[in-house]
Formats: sequence, C-alpha cells, structure tokens
Amino acid sequence: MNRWLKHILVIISFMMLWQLVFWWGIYPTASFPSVFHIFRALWMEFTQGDLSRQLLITLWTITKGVGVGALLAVILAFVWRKKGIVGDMIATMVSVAHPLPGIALLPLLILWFGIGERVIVVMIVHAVVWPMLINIKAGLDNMPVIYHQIADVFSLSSKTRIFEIALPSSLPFMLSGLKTGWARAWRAMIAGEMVFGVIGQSGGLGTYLFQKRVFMDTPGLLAGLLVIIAMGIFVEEFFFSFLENSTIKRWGMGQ
Amino acid sequence: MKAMVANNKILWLCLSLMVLAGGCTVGTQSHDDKELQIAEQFGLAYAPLVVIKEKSMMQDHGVQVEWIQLNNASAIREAMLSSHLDIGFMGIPPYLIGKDNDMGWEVFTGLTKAELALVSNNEDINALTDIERQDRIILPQPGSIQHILLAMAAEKEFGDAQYFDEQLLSMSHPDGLQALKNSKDPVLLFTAPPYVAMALQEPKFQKVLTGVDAFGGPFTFIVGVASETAWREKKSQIDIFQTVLREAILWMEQYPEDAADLLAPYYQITHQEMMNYLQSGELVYALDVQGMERFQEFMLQVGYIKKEEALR
Amino acid sequence: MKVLMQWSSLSIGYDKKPLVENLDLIIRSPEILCVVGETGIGKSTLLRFIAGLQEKERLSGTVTEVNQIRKAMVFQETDQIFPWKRVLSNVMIGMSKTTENLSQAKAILRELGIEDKKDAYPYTLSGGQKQRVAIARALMRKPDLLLMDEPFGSLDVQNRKKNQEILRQLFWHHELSVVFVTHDLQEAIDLGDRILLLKNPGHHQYYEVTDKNRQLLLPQLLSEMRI
Repeated sequence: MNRWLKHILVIISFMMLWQLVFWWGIYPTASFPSVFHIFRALWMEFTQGDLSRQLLITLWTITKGVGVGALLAVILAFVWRKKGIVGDMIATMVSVAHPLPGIALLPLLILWFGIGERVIVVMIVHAVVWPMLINIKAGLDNMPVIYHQIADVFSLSSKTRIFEIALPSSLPFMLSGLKTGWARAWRAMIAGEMVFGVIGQSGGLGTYLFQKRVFMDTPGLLAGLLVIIAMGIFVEEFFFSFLENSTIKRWGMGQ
Repeated sequence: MKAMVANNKILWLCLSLMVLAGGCTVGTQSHDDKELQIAEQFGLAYAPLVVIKEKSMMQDHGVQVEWIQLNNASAIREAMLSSHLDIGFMGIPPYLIGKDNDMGWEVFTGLTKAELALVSNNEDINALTDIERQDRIILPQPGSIQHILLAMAAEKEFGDAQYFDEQLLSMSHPDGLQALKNSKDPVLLFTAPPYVAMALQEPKFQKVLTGVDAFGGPFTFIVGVASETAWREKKSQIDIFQTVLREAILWMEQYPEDAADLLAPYYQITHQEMMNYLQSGELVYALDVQGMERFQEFMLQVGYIKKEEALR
Repeated sequence: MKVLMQWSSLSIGYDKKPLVENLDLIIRSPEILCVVGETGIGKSTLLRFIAGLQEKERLSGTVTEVNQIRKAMVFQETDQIFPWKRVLSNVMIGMSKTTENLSQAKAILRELGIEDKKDAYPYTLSGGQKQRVAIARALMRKPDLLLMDEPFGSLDVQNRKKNQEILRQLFWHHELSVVFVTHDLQEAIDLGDRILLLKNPGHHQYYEVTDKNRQLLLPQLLSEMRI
C-alpha cells in the first residue's frame, strides 16, 4: 500500500511540475500542452474517439503474436534439445535472429507477407520467439536429473513427460521469457505501426500516435503515451504478478 | 532515513524540472544570425535545393547554410517548433495543419508543381468506383497532400471525403512501389514523380486518378515555409534564399545538360534518365503558389482543420 | 518362497571398470533386501541398474526375470515430488483418473497416514511426508519390486523411525519385494530380511536377518566392512 502511495505521490508531483513549466510559457503550446488539455484529450479519445478500440486491437494483436511465438518457442525448444544437425541449426538460428530488431526486418517482411496486420503479427512473433526459446531451453536444460529418472522408472508417456513434467518444471524460466517477450512485442507493435502506419481498421496504438503526430494533436499524442505507460504498469504489476502468484509462487517454486 | 528519502525526492523534482525546461534554452542558443537552417527531403521535387546546396549558392551571398535531412512534414514541423529549423519544404495541407494549431510559420515561395497520380496494381481497377473495401491505398501519411487529394476525389465521387480513410496505409514512395509490385492482392499507391512513371512501366498497373482531376485544376505540390522566428530574425536571409532559388531554377532551365550532370550522381541515376525527368514536364519548378485557398476551404469544410482564421 | 528375479555373475560399472563384479543376485518374493556398504561402493549404481536406469553400465552377466515384473522406485531426494502437483496428482501421475484409481490412491495415502494432505502442495509438507508421497506414488503402480535408494537418508531420527515402521506395515500388507539401499547399518538390520554387504569389486556377502542374530549382526557387519 505504501508503495502505491509513493507511486501516486511521484506522479502527482510530476504532473504539477509539468503544469508549472506550461505556465512558465517557454514552450509553444503546440508542443507543450497543459496537463488539463492532456487529460481532456484522454477523456475525449476514450469516449468519442477510437482509442479504446485501438488499445484493444493492440492487445489482441500482441496476444496473437505472443501466443504463436510462445507455442513456436516451446516446440523449437524441444527440437533443440534433440542432439544432431537440427539442434545445431536452431542454435545458429537463435544467435543470428535474436539480436535482430524486428523493425530492421520490416521492409523484408513487407516483401514476404504483403501488407496489413499479418506483417505486424509476424514481427511480434519474431520479437517474442527468440527470448522465449532461449529461456525455455534453459528451463529444460536445468530440469533436475531426478525428473528424467522418475519418468524412466515409471515408464511415463511422452505426453505426460512433456505436459506434466518438462513444461511445468521450466515454468519459472518460461515466465521470465514471457516477460522479455511481452516487453519486446509491445515495443515492436508500437514502433512497427509508427514507422509503417497501418491506418484504419487494423490500426492500434502505434497508428494512433502516428495519426496524432501528423495532425499535430500534441495533447492527444501525450494522452496516448499515458495509455501506453498505464498499460505497461498494468501488465507488469497485475498481469504477471497474477500469473506468478497463481503458479510458481503458489507452488513454492521461488526462483 | 526519512529525511534522506525526502531529500532524494527534492533532488528528483529539481532534476526533472531542469530536464523539462532544458530543451528550450539549448534550442534557442544554437542559433547563429549568419546561419540558415534548411530542411531537405529526398526526391526529384526538391531538385532546385540540391542545386543550391551542391553549387554553394547561399555561401556566395555570405550566408552559411546548415542542411538537415528530414523524412516528412511532421518531422519538419517538430524541428521548427523546437527552433531547430528556419526553412522547410512540404505540401500545402501539412502546412495548413500546423497553421491551424497556432504555428506562426508562413509560406514564402512555391517550389514544384507535379503530376500526382493514384496507381493500381490491378487491371480491373481503373476508377475510384472499382476500389473494393478491402483494397489498401498506400500514401505517404494521413494529412499529406496525397491524402487530401484523395479525400477531394472521394467527396466528388461518393459525397464522403472520408470514404477511403479506413483503408489507408502509410509508406514512403519507394516502399509503396515495392509493396505494389509484390502484393498479390489489389493495392493502390498515391504517389508523385518519378514513382508514377516507374509504376506505370508495369504492364498491369493502371492510372486511376490524377492530382489535377481530384483538385479540379493545377496546384502547387511543394511550398517553402519559414518559421515564425526566421521571419522575425532572419528576414534578410530569407530574401536572399528566394533570390537564390529563382537563380537556381533559371539555371536548371537554361543549362539542362549541366543540371543533369550535377543532379544525376546525387539521385544515383544516369545522366540520360535525369535529362528525361527534367524534360518530361511531369515536374515543373515554379515560385508561385497555386491552390492554397481551395485546400483551405476543403480542409475546413471536412474538418481536417478547424479554425476559420487560418483562411486569409 | 518364490524367486522374483535372478542374476548370475553380474558385473556392472563405468568405463569397463567394474564397481560390482561377479555378483549372484536373487530377489525373492516377498522380502526386504537391504544393500549396505561404504559410500561410492556401487550401492546406488546397482539399484539404478535394477531399475533399468543404467542398462548401459552392464559389463557382463545374465539376467533372468521370472516374468515381466513391474518396478517402482523411491529416491533419496525429497524434491522427487513435483511441486506443481497436489499430493493426489503426484501420486496419480501418468495414470488415468478413473474412480477406481482415485479411490486406490486415497487408500494408499490413508495407509501412509497422509490422506488429509491429498490436496496440499508439496512445499507445505515435511521431508518425511514428502517421502511418503513418493512411496505412495510407487505403490500406486502395484509394483512387484519396490526399489528404494536411501529414501529416509535425509530425514531426522524421529521421522525416519516413523517411516520405517510404516514401510514395514506396507510390506506385510502388500507382500512386496523391496530392495532397500542404505548406508545406515542399524536401519538395514531393523528393516531387512536379508542384507547384502558390498565391499570391494568382487567381494560381497549376504546375511540372513533372524530374530536370533539381530542383536549380533551390527558388530559383525561393522567388522566385516573394515576388512
């Protein structure tokens, strides 16, 4: 509770500062609007504009990308652990692809996948799959030897081995991979849209910022940034906490 | 311990205040009275600027120029707002949007008139009415001259200026051309020379709409805009720039071969290709500004700008 | 007395260097056979080999299993219980959730005195309770042969005594064959019907535990180990 109070205190003092600078008047209003304008813009965008829809589209698109990316990462991680040429290929792929920013791939992705939502999803998958893959692989590698022996002694089926032992056992690693993946997906989506500017029905928050920028709606732009910040805090503080509390913390698997 | 936390907070507040206020001072102090900061964009429409730059024509008049490469009108607008830029070039609509948001900038010259066109990659799409709901229309960005021209045509055709707004896609001209060539689905591109001609080289590509049709007459594609501070503090430099620009355009007309020699390496094309562009008539470099009122009326009517007083 | 499995002149070890050499091993049904010996002598290797975990390490010898026998194993480590599964699911792992299996699992937990913990997560259990969950999981498979690798090694004296007692009762009830590895000679004497003492490769010795020799066995084993 105290922590929240501190957060709120810092936010309020920052807003007061902002307003002071605004009143000081050293910046043109067009580039430095007042706090009230920003919050009015936020209210208007949510009630009359498209912001809530664009927020939902952003979250839905990221969910799709993260879902596909996570699934792909799990499959690749198991393949990676198989010794031999395929495993080596995946290892090479990871070291080549992981440091590559999705934005740099965008022109190529447009050539391959055309234009529209698909490209953004592919970019998010790229953003998510490599950190998750590395983490899941680490999780599988770090699985206690005894789990393998138990599975062997009790002649457990591959299905049981994968879903009831290997995956839950590497869950702490998966969750930290998911956190990195989420952060990267969130950036990729917004950056991708801001550069690429999908407008209209498939537009998300990045498109929103892009439109606010070209039509010079600075309060609207800042309102969008507030939404992005709030969303980041929400996901970090509530969503991931919830995931952890209902899994690894509940099981006493503190890493 | 409590006291330390409080101290830290005060420190943070002071720091943030400094950061918030800091940008401004840096911005204004970097100005040098003798110097002019000009934004250039990449494209044939800006060729006279390249001539001025390559031939150091401003320096001959004793004015130092800092050329800044920016990609779009939004970036130019932002640079001007932060007092990092004196002169920029853009379409009339982005200029009007800035004006509508209380920017004190003013147009001081025209630069280019051009044959803009909406091109489809599908032989079945020859007119606006052939465009389906799911077909994507690529243009540089919303609020650009291409966007407003499309809105004008949509208003004429369907009585709804925002008819196509849900299917727009923002890309630079070269990226857009690539997308057009590589997409199997029907895609359209609203673009400018030389990309119009480059696109129409493809056998299946069709010209769907021209800028002149949409506007209902000729209009200036690119105008030169000077910031409020530049008007106030660098009036003489702006005057010199206008003279130099006229000289540059005249020189290009009188010595097209020399101009092509100068420009071809800059645009990384052959001398002959450059000559073709200069003489095709698709691009006309001219100092007068045409079509300002019509753009203002239309944008006000549709709501892309809101303030009556932007109309002068 | 039935013979469950029988091996003749078995040698096992790593890199051709035998840990256990020329061992004749008969496991009867039912019985508790305790394997003792110093650390590193090959007790665990032998047990894991019987479990089928270390087939590779066999160097020579013949194995005769009377029938295809079902084996189950209990390890020393208390983290052999999966923390993400409640006690009942841990016991049921890999088995279909039929009512029959469920009621059997509950019955076994009751026998082991941890029925009230069936919905608890493992981290809430004591070490002794965790080991009993592991035993329950092994018993769920209705094993012919239960292999135990120092299952009570990490428990305190009180918990160890309690678990030994429970194991003894289970043994009578289920008529199990148990191979029980321990480094604790007293535990072996308390639990075992027979004791196999591993000394050096090629040197090992069996002892029958009877009510008569129970008192004398400890000093005898101790002196044998020193030779």
